[in-house]
Amino acid sequence: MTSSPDSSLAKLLPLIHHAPLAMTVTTLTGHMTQVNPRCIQLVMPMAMDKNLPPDNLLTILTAYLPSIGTAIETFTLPTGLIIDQEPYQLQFTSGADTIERQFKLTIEKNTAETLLIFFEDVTDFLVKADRMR
Amino acid sequence: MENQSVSPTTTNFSDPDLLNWLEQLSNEQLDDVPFGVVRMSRNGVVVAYCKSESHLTGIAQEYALNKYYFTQIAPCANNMMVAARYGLPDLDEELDYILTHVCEPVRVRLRLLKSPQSQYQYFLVDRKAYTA
Repeated sequence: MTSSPDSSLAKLLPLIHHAPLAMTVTTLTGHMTQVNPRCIQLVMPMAMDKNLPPDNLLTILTAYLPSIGTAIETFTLPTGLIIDQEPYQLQFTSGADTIERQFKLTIEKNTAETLLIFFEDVTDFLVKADRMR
Repeated sequence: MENQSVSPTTTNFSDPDLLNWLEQLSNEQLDDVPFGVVRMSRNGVVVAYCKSESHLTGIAQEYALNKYYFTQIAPCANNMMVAARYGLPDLDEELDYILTHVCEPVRVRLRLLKSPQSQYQYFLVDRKAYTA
């Protein structure tokens, strides 16, 4: 028995929509072409904090962490892992509050024109892990 | 009690009296409003998910009904910019945002509405601001 692409996609969608990992496909310049809700949830407050266009992830990430932009610019292979599960700390403001979060980031160049970017807010995980020690 | 005299197709997204006007519409009448409307109970459960919102997000109306909106239907808005704002007793804010249609990012204008007197709270979506 075969299923149509549409029904396969319908079965896959809950996984994508509820994944706790932020996932996006971007152009080499960072424009998001495919994205899951977790990514939007995490990125929008960061874009707003620095008044940046919300649909370009590299512009946003590089505004907080210039080393990410450098890593992509200096990557010369046609495909491959650029950043592999690296931990980062970000600070941004919301009203009068300063928020500090810990992220884990992976960036892979999967074709000559596209990047796969995965990131996860691990702040709560780290707090829970600390309690277990 | 719904108001038979209201005309859902002619209302304005930024109308200052929009909340009172929406409160008079039945769930079925919300389908005729010219922007996306999600009507929620005051604890965030979807009561009505209008057709234009369903077309925008790709989520079926039947699937959305009776689910917690920000955790089960629109996790992309479950943050301090949107979902947390509904903790305020009185809310009327517009902001630019991104929603997803399947996995495609869609730029929209949002309006978040509730008041201490309103029976429901509302999440309104205007896509025309970016497609005109």
